[in-house]
Amino acid sequence: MKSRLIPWIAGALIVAGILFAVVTPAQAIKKEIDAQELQKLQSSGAWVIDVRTAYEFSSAHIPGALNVPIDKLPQAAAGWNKSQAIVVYCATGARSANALAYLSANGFRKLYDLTGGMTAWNGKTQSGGGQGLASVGAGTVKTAGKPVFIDFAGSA
Amino acid sequence: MKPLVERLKKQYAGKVEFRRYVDDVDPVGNQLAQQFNVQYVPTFVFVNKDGSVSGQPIVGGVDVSVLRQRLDALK
Repeated sequence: MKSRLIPWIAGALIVAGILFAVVTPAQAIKKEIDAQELQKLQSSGAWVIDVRTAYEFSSAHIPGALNVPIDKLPQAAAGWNKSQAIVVYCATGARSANALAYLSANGFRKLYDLTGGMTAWNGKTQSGGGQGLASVGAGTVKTAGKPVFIDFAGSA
Repeated sequence: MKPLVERLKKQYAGKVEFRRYVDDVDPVGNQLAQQFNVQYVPTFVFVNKDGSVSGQPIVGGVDVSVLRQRLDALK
């Protein structure tokens, strides 16, 4: 009797497993990571997306990162594979949090945010790759013999 | 960021010249903003006394310790 029941029990367990996998949605991975984890993810094929402006990107960015300014993200991400692991960073973490929220809401499952952004990044950086400080011939600010701090402000 | 910059301005008085340009108001500022391709505000640029730009500009809100570090590095 027992030997007759075993195939039925095994079959029931397999069906239950299949139903569980189909009905339960895959949990999105969305977490904050540090520089070391970023490098590990990058070497295992994760994309590293810099959501700052081209100007910021060209000044310094994480080697191997792709520049997708946050305002261009919806357009760019429309063609991405949603199971692709993606690490997002910006200057301090504010824009990357918005980028992650957007990607998560649009079905991307493996998302990571570099804690503290470029401000906290202590690894190597690369410059160039966009229109920025290096390409506009900066370095010719007229001074009165003292160092200068320039604050481009948004309002008076 | 304005109160923070004002505080730094007092602390670095006599050592560093502080210039503040308000978007679309100051023609000199607009010219400089074009030169540095400033797209977002605030953007902070650090210039050595010989007129050369020191390091990369900082875009967006930043901790005061970072600004102090950059100011102290100016030659």
